[in-house]
Amino acid sequence: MKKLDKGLWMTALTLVVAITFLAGCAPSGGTTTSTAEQPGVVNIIMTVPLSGMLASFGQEQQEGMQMAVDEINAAGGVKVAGKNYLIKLTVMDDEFDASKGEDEVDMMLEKLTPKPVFYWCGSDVVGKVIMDENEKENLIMEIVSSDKAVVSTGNKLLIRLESDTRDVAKGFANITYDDMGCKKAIMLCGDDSASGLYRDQWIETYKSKGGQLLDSIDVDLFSTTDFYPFLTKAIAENPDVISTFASADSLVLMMTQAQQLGYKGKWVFGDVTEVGEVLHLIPAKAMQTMGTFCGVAAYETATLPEGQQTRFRAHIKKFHDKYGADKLWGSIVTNPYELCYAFKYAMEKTGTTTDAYAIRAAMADAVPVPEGVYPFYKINPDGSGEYCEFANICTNGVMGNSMVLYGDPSIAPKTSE
Amino acid sequence: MSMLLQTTINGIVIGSAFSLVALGLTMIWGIMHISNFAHGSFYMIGGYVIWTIITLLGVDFWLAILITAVVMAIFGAIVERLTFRPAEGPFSTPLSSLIVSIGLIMIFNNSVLAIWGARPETLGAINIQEFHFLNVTVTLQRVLIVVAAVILIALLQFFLKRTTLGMSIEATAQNAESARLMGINTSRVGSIVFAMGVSLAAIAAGLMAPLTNINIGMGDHMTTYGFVIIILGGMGSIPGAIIGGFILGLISSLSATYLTANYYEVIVFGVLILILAIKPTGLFGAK
Repeated sequence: MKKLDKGLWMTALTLVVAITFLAGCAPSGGTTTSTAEQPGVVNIIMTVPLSGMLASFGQEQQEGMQMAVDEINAAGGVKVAGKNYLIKLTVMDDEFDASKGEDEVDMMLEKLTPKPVFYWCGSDVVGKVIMDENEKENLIMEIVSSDKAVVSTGNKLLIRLESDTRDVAKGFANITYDDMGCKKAIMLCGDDSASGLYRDQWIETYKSKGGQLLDSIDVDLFSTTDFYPFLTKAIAENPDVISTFASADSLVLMMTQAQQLGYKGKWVFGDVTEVGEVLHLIPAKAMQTMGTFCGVAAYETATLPEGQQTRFRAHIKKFHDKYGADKLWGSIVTNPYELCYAFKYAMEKTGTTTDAYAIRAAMADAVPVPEGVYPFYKINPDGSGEYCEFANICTNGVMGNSMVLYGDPSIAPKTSE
Repeated sequence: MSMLLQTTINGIVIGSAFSLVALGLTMIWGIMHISNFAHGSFYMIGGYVIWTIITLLGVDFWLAILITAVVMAIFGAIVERLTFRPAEGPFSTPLSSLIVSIGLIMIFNNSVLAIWGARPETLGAINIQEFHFLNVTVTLQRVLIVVAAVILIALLQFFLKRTTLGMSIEATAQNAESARLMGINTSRVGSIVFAMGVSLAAIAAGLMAPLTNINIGMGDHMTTYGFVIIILGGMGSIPGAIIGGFILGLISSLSATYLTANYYEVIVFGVLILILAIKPTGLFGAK
């Protein structure tokens, strides 16, 4: 009996030691003591086009959001009511397809625990379907759209940060006529819906100022094999300026080919292209004869307060270290980055990770966020964002002073130093 | 007058690339009866391969074209062996190769995205010397595109008509069963033709690369135009692909300049429908 008791004691002791050891190794949800020390999770979901022709657009949004998530988590996560939460980002490729995007959101809402309260929708093709449902799902939703009409439905959980392409178009039409002195224009832009919005507004504003539109040519910028046929037609009409709404890569090809065809006039870019991108793509020697063009000021070259410039350079270095030196830090990357921080601060302020309405209301107060390097400075009650953007006129590679394209430069950018 | 001349030259340049793409497509159809909807994806990959060879390895443009042609021919042969040929088995249907080609488009697009990323690439200034005459501008690269296409077409004709392998290909195209009975290895011929077709598409992409962006969508319209050309010229007809390519190039250029740039595809397809209504087998198609 005494021998048996000793055996039992030894077995029990071995079991206790083993259980204690295994509990220590358990990843999460083990004993009550270890759970209390584990951070909670806040899910953010994202659908963006990651394949097909808009893949780079989706990829940049993902990178902006991922960078903010990584920074927040590395700094200990979100502190809500005395507890730390790490942000978990789930990204799915919507393939720019409304039904696919909708299925993905449904699946993520069903499967992810805890249920996500913040959804970044990277295209309005998908977003216009989901925005009927997001309030029922208690889901704050940012919809990437160049059409401000999407926030006119009274949806209290909807945010649309992007500038309205029509505001940009007005700004560029004014600069073209007033500052560049161009009286005869050709519009040469893409044949997608965003380009159409820009084109129509630009033409309306330009004509209202007395400008003469010689022709408007739509081009499928993704698939055009050669711009010569379009440019031959455009240049034959002898314009002062060619107004475009194209990506930097297409634009540089157009400018180079137009120069070959003898075009001596000016160029105005839409907000798809920053002047800095074009400077980056055209060799310095060729730039000396490239003539005059105007586009959105690259963040590096916009007239920012000195402290802001320094902080921007430090930030861009971090971004390049993470994603590669060829990556561009523009509003497509900035918006998800900064809104993620706004989401963090709103949760911390309201003390909840689940009440979407309270968090959404607090997000408006959280901007501009301290981490913002060139931020949107306001979220309006209807969910639209506001920020200030500048334009630069560049002549033969020499950059002129920044001009306000739209927004209020006295408010933005915010200097946190 | 100078605008007409400029537009015609523009059309001939684009038509040269169209012809090379369509040549590959029509050969694959003529020998293997495969509707290779992934042909534009091979064109796209060819563009990325030449970009990689030039920008990362610093190889000369023409040597890079040659390397790309060889690399893509090998790649094409491997793809044919691993995908299209197994689909020819006893349970194959006319849809088998179609489904394979659609699957390949998805695989290629996503692979390109994973390897090269989503941002478009450009080769930058290559052969940009300009020639001006009669108020017309032509760059050296544009001249070289036409010259290279004409030389390639001539070499291809020589190969098909004057070499044993070329005659085997023609024999297989005319009657595969008889060719097999005569001792021709028609499977091998199929692989060679597929490799050549892919190589021609890659060469076309390489020649056009200095004039355009290299992006993931660059092959989509090439597939569409390729099929328009070979239907226009006659399915499987090599002269049809050549002439059809130049016709399409001229139509797209003239309509973009003189009619409407916005709807030139409508005009392209309108001409196709008109020609098929008059001659249903295409310009050079056999009855």
